[in-house]
Amino acid sequence: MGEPILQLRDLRVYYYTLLGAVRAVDGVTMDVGRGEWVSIVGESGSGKSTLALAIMRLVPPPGRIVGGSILFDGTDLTRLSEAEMRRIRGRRIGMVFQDPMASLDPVRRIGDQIADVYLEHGVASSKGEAIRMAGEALEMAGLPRDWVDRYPHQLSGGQRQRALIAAAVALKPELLIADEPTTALDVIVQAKIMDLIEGLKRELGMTVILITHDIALAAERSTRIAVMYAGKLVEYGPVDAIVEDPLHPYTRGLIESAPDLWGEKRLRGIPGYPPDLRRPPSGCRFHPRCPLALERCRSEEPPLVRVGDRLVACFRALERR
Amino acid sequence: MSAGRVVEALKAPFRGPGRGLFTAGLAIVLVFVVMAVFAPWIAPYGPTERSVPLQLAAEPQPPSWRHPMGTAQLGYDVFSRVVWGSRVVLYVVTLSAILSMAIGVPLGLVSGYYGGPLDRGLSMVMDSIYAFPGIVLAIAVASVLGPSPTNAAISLSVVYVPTFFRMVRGQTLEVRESLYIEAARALGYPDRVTLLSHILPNVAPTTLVVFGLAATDAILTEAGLAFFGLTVSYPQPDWGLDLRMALKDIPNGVWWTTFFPGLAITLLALGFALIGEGLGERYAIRTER
Amino acid sequence: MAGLARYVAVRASLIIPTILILYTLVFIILRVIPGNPVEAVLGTRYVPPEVIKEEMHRLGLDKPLYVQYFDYLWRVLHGDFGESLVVRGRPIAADLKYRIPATIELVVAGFIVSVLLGIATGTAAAVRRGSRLDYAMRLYGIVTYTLFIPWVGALLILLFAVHLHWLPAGGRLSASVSLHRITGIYTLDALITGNWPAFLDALRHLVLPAFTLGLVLSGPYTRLVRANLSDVLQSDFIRAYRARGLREGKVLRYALRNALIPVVTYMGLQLAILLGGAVLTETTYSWPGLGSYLYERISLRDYPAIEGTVIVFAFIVSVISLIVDVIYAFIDPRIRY
Repeated sequence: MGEPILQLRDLRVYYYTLLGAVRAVDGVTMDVGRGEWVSIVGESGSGKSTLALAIMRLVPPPGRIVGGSILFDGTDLTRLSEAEMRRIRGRRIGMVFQDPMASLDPVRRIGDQIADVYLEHGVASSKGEAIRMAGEALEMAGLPRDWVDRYPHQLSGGQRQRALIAAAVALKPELLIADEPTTALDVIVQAKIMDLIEGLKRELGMTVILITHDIALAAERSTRIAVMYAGKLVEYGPVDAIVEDPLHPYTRGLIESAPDLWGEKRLRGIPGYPPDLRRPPSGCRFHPRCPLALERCRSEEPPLVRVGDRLVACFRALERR
Repeated sequence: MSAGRVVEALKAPFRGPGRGLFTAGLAIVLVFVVMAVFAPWIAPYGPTERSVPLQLAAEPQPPSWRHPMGTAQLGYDVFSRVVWGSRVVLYVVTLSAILSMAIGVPLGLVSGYYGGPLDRGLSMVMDSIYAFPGIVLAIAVASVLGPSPTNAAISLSVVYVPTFFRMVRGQTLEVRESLYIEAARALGYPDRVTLLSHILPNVAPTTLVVFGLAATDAILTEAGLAFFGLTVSYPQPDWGLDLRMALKDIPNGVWWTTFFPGLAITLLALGFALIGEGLGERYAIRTER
Repeated sequence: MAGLARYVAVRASLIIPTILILYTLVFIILRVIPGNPVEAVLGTRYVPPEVIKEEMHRLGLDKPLYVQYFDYLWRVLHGDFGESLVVRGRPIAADLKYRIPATIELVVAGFIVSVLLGIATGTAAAVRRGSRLDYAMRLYGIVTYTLFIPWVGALLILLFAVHLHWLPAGGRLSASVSLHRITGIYTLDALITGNWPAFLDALRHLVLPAFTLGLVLSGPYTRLVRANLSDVLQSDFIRAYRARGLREGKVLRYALRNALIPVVTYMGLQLAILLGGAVLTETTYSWPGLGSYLYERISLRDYPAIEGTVIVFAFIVSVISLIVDVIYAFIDPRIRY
């Protein structure tokens, strides 16, 4: 796994609404090794997207990083000035978002939008040079070089996501965060985009963090899977271990409700809904929906502990140690 | 509608978002209405009465305890003229509002409900009037009809009929598509009944919002007509005309003869604007301006 | 680009019906509405019926309406607006030709001021949404719209001309300054001829009228920019820009570019309101344009002059709406015809 490129320590991100603080990310600690592909999995509202935005320091108000640290290559991102952080965004950490239809500026050419990155970070000295480099980036992402002249509305969803990936990896970042990059696309395009990301990862030696609600997608190419529930990391470990022998009942639920992983096998959803994060349940946050909940789960919060080669936060899982 | 529902409807603007704006606007407008109705009791002097000794009448006198807004040429008391002037302004604006609603709302209902060539023709005419600078249009009409408050009101309604027409037509089209009108038709209610009983209550809030905004415009346009001498003839009091007559005092540094009539125009316009604004926020209606 | 060229051509041809409709509208208002212009001109004095008849004949007002309609249209299309009733023998067209550039100069300057003020206030409000500044800017949007132009003009003249002596109280050019008239837009003429003293003088005369007009009509832009920009600032592509390390200033510039596109559609309507506002502004500042001409001729009851001026206003409105539509097609790449 090598040395960690990213270390989150007790990270807390809250949204301060009129009705109280929403604890979207509530004390997450995890490491990502250089060259890894880590997928963060969870239902919507689990805090996984907020976690991704927090790493970029782009949590929109009224949200705020309220505690903990984000060590990126040894530097605590939470302590950087806005100007220092800007030099990291796009250059050392790239990010791809969920909705390619909305993530490109509709009134500017694709090439200009990619060229921004080279100009902003001082890599290109002239507009012409930047556009030429943008063409190369497009090519790297599997689009024709001369599409720099195209406007977003002339591209399909998959092509737009390619253009966005081109912009994200234009400066060969060490870390690429992809937040549900294929959710808005159809299945065939989805696979091609994932292939592209995998290819680029290998070619550029990047580390990838994939945010997804789809554990089957995560299982395909990741080295490790992190499962989040209600703002907490509940399980984190190697793909095979997680998929074949999930320790946390929530992880098990996710796997059992995923169709692709088990082919035609029966589908079973997780009953109930994720909790209101303004007033999360006491003890283990999953206990109201958990089929295995103990009395203790209601009152006491299970710590994240090492079980073999993974981390898990569940009293039931501890029984197996 | 039962009495209870009417009371509820009347209370609605005072609750929810925009109530502050609405209440403030209504208060301003009411002050002017009271001023107009009780002018003889409020104004210390008649509008064309010399309020100072003859030797002081030649020059405007600055505000004092006796003349809180100072005096104008010929010794007119500015405060009294502002009070009396509110009568003309409110008369012209009220009459024009009634006229333009009385014409614009039914035309919009009919045009939107029946569609077809009638709708296309009417819309084309209304749109071109709407695109024309309102005050130029009003001036053109008023200059043909001749200067008088009633003619000024007619000129203003030429300008504001399209405003109501466009809004009501748009809303009618929207409501017509909705299912319950279809249902009413299917049940065989005659057109007239459908129109009045279903569409009108639905377009009512928007009509009020547009009324607030159109009234704002109408007050400023009325002041413009008065400024052009197309409402009353001097020395009859009208704010816009008083302001025009006082412009020649400016080079002498005399500010009160222009300041107070102009303030009255702006305050009254602001009152209606706040009413429209508050209602717009209350019913979440976005308008073009 | 061929599509765009075709669109411009089609749009340009649509100006003919627009002008015809507005011409008809003006014609109906001025000739069909009951009221006898000649009697109106001659006022309340007693005039022998035969004199009125003669005047009506001279103006062609005794012909059937449909003949008048085409007669006048034909003449207007040839730039003939008839003769003044007040200054006998003076062609109206000559007056209009002299006055139009002044109005255009004022309206364009007022337009620039209103757009700049609107963008500045609207942006301030959108960037600090929900703050006190935002609230103040919303109030600005409402209050400026309710200002009566001659009132603002009078107060500004009092302050800047009468008390401070910084700026002239009215007119377009000081008597001591000479300028070779080319386009009739004085600031432009001064620039063309390289006449700097005249340029500065013309600009000094333009400042107060343009600011008055621009201030009063900036409110709608404040609202539009505020609403559009706060929407755009929350959109995904703005977040994507930030995620690539773009400076906030640049992000805001790109956001504004998106937010201003819908604002352009409003400009057509707003320019019509600006023209109306110019009528009052010109009268307040003795600015010798179409508006003050209208004012003078109404008090003189010079009927053909009034009619000609209103027709020219109609023409300008149509041309403006054409220009705005074409600009819109140019700046929004999504629109292709």
